[in-house]
Amino acid sequence: MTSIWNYITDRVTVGRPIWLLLLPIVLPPLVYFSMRSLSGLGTFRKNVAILLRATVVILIVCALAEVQAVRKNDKLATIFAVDVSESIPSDMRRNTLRYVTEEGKKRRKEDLAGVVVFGRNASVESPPAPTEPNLSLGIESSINAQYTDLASAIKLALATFPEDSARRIVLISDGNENRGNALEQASAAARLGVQIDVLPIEYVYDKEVLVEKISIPPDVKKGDMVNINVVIRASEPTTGTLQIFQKDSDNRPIPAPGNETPVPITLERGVNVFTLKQKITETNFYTFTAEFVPTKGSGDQRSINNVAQGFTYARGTAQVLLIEGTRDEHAELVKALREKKIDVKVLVAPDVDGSSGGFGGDVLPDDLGQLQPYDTVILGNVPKEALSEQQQKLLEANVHDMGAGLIMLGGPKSFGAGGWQNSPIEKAMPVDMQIKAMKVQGKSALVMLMHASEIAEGNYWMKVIAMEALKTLSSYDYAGMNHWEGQEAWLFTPQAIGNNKASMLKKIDRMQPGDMPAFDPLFNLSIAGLRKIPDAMTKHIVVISDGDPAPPSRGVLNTLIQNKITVTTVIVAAHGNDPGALNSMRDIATKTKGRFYNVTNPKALPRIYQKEARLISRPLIFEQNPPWVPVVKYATEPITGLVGGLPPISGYVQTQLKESDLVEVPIISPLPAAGQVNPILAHWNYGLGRSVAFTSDAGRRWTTAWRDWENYAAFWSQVVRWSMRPVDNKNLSLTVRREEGKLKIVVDALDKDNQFLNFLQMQASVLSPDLQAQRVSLVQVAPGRYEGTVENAEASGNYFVNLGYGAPDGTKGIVTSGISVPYSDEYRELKSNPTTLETISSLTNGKVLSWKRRPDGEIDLKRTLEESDSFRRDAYTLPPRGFSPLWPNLLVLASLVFLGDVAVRRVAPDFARMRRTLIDTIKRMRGEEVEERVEYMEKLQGRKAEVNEALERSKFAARFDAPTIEGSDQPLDEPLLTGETAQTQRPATATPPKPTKAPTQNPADSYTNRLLQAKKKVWEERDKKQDE
Amino acid sequence: MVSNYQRSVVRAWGLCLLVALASGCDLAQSGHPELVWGIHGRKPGWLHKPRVAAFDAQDHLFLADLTDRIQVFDRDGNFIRQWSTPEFNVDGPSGLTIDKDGRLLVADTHFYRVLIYDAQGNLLHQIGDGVQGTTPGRFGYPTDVVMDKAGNYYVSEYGENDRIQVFSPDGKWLRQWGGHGDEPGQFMRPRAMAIDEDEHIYVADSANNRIQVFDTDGKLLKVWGERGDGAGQLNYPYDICIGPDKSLYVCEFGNHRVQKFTKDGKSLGTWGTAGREPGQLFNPWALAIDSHGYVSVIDSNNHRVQRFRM
Repeated sequence: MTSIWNYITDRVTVGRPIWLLLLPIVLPPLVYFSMRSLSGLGTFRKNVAILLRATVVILIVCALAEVQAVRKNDKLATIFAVDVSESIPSDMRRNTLRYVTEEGKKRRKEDLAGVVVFGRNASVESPPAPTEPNLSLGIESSINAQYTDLASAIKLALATFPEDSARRIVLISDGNENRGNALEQASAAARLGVQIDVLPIEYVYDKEVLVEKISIPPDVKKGDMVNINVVIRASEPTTGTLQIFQKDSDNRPIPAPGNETPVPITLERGVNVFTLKQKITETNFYTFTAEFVPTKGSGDQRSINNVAQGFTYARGTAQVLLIEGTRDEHAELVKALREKKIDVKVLVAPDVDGSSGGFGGDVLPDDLGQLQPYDTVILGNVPKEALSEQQQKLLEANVHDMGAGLIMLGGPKSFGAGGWQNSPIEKAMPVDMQIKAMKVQGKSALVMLMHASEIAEGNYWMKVIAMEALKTLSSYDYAGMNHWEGQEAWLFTPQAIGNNKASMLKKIDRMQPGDMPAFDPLFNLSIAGLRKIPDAMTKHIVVISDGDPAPPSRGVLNTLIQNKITVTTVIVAAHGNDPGALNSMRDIATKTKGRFYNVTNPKALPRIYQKEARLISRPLIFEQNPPWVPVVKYATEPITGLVGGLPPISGYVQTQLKESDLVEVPIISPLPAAGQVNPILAHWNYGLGRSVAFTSDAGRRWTTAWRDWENYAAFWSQVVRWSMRPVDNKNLSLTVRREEGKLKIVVDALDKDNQFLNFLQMQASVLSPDLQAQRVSLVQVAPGRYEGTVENAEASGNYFVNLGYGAPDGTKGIVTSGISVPYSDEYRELKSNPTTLETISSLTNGKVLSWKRRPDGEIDLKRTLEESDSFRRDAYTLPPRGFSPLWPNLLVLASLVFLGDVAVRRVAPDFARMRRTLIDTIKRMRGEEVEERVEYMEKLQGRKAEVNEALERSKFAARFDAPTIEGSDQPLDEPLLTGETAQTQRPATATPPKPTKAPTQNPADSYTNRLLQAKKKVWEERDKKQDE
Repeated sequence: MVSNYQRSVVRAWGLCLLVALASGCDLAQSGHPELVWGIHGRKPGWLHKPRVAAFDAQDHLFLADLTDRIQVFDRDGNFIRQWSTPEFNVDGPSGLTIDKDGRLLVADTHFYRVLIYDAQGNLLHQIGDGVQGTTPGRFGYPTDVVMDKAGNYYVSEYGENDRIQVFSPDGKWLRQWGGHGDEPGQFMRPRAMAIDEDEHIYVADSANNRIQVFDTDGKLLKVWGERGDGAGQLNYPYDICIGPDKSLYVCEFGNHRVQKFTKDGKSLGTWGTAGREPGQLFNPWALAIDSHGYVSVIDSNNHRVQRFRM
């Protein structure tokens, strides 16, 4: 009985059970009244009718109670969640992939199998599908393997499951989670009825050595002997050597002076601290690396966690980094600054060629640490393409977040003329490099001729370079682009960039250049396009090609030369270093006075195009002879105290002041005299730092008279000093700790008398290794102690913390510190953590699987697979239930049953006759003779006739006329009155009329006539009687 | 009984059918190909920017594309076999000719040599030492090879020196003519050649948009063609073939069409327009004519072959 009930409840459910209460209310009265009203039907029909009626009511009540059918599905979806983080030993990773591939094959036909892989992030490697996942070729998803986040894997798997199947996750991991909370997600899975089987990957690095950290005093002085503390954790006593390295000027690690020989050390189980002495020989930024090398055969397996890094900064006199475009271009400036006791380091920016970097020049800083010794960076006439995008970002962050200074000096390759518009440096400057409403003195027109489809990712690179060129050109310049698309065609004709930039970029995006057979048609097209722009002072074509098209004819080259169109050719090495192609491309450039680039690395292309666009777009330079004197508008801090007027200048790069109240513009140029302000010297505070724009140069081309100016050195030293990073206040000690992927910043503030400094405003800016800045306000937690936490300090690398503070008395300052994360947390784990996995499994009623091993310790995949069944059905794989409403079906059924109810009451079946007919039929089929019976219809007609007769008789009795007289031709069939009245008025004495044939009715006899006749007869008979 | 309405519907359909049939016939006449085949890709039997092809006497089509493969198909494009040229950098060979002995003469363009294969793909020998050069016997970029009745090889090339060099049957250098330029007798990218029974050599001088005719000594006999898309005009003639009807068929890369000429240079009509539909071409590089006189045009940028008759 229970099983029947279970069977029903498994398949049917009630949405609003309250309505079922109607049944006991409605059913008993219904039965009671029906018993009475249907008593004439006979017992059997009555019972059937009541039953049907009750059924109708039950069905309607069920419809009202929203009875629903429960759909069940035997489908099972299993998602394998595979841990691919660094902590998984590589042999186990291979085994895991093989396991998933083989286990997936156990899928039943209707089952779905999917794979989620995870580390720091989780990704769906293959969505649940009715196919076997195949991981034999490795993982395709891009996973950050530096961390393990079990929770994100479970969460993603839960979100990936289809709705209409039972669900199981098979989690394969070492259980060492260092991100997220897996148990929380496991509970969520349990609530959703998702089972999690776990297959723990177990390992023990029982002889592992970890260099946990290296601690160095954050602030040291030149000449100090500092203690470098190295913290090493060992899981077993072992031996090895320890050595300290530091980075040289090119950022390469070399043994630290005094620590050239590795120190032999003996490690005990647990934490060991070693102190090594290191002499600080000069003011610099130091990055020290401690490396432990285990004795051979010690059993230490992972070397990545044997290294730790730390940094410190030895401050000395103020130091400035000058990056110049051409060597010794700023010799006078350097001399002047050194006279004023400012230490200057000069680097020369490389020029751009076809290799990925540049040629000539020095190695420029490309990490923030290298910039730390400098309080100000000066860019002297350096074009944008000389610095990579990353280096530009670095300089910007160095000002905004590290509080350093940035000065840009003018020159033909600086500001807008250097292509610096739309760059991170422009953001940091007090001036914009482009002038929005300038009366333009000379526009340039650039046509880009694109034919690079045959190099690897040719289309991609063509789009990149086209965008770079458009970015570098000014909005009032013209740009056009043509290519071969089956024939020569414009992608867009030369037009002012202005508002067309977006549509140009869209067209570039859709570009599909083909293989151009010859240069002539495209050059002719370009010439025709450029001729239509009369106001372009510079007309330039940049050709990118593999050099394979037929070289331009003499006629075309002559036309280019006559029209003063310069052509730069960029050959991308598609056909090897084919001398023919190289010569013909070089020839085009030489004859038309353009430049020639042989590109061996496509990464060089964007910078070439930046340079090309910059070289033609130089209307921003304003030069005039004779020189004129710039005007001191008002004195600001950098120029206070300078006596006498300024010497004349003969040119500068035009810029536009930023619309900000922070921008100060002490020196302007009266020329050109068109409405706007022409800044010569402008400065502002940008983030934590300061930046200065000097739009003329430092003594060579436009400011030759300045070199002999008595205040030359004073002027520049004041400007540079103003921009410099402020000096640290020694009363603040800043400590940075890293815990669970977060940085904790602690500041202890004491004054000179060692009294606590309270109520300071403190804000820290933390630059992560990818130069993302995070800002945090520190909160005072105790007398003189302030704390703040920065999230997401997960990546390994250097974190710089810059703390700006303000005291209630108005003093301000900046303190810098930092922390180095040498390797990911994944390498800190020395053994797996199956307990977490077992808990997850028990929370979700899953199974704990295990790897089976052969006697030699190797994984026995066959046996492991034998003991697992990821597609099994058990009591906890809850098949999902789908509900479909039954009320429409119930109502249709109710109306059918209602019809049955009506039929039972109105139709009386003649069972005897049915039986007879059946017997007769059987007899006929047997060939027996069947007794003739009066057919039903005949009988029915006979019966009808009888009934008619009886009716006739009663009719006659009801009529007023006398019974028909024999032989009379009067019509008899028209009743005068029917119903009860007629019957009651029937005279008791009336003689029943004899059956007569139905007389034909004379249509002429109207009812009134007959009535009159009848009346007349009655009167006649009455008279007769009276006479008798 | 068919009502008036039904009758009119039937009539309308009938009319449509007629129109459709008529237009179908029209299409067939105006350039609907008889066969279109080819799948884009690098698998055996697939085509990746096919650039040159030639039929042998058995109507097997030898075809080279942007890979290093030489693939052999039957006349209807069913794949038979393939082999690879010895070296490969970016482009495959750009010239293929079947000589009278059924050997395959391959202009291995980017390796500065001519390779001679038997029909099964066995390398028999090569002309040129594979070093780029302008001296006699060395090549810039060889583009096509033809053979005269005596078995001498004529190799066209471009690069530093646009010329035709002649080699004896045993590969000895004999003579050369041409030079880079647009004067009569000079070349700019001679892409292909054809030789007729009178031993006249027809050169598709592609970047000069003309056909030049020479005798075997290099004497210029005739020149025709100028840049344009009208009848008789040319736009990058990339291939030239002589059909069984003795007409010249020229494949125009820039005009996306095939133009038929008499040997005197009179245009007899064109086939194809620019596009991607059947009957349309996208920068075709080459054509080949089978023994039935049908033209298989190598529709390079559509990665396919179209067969038609002009």
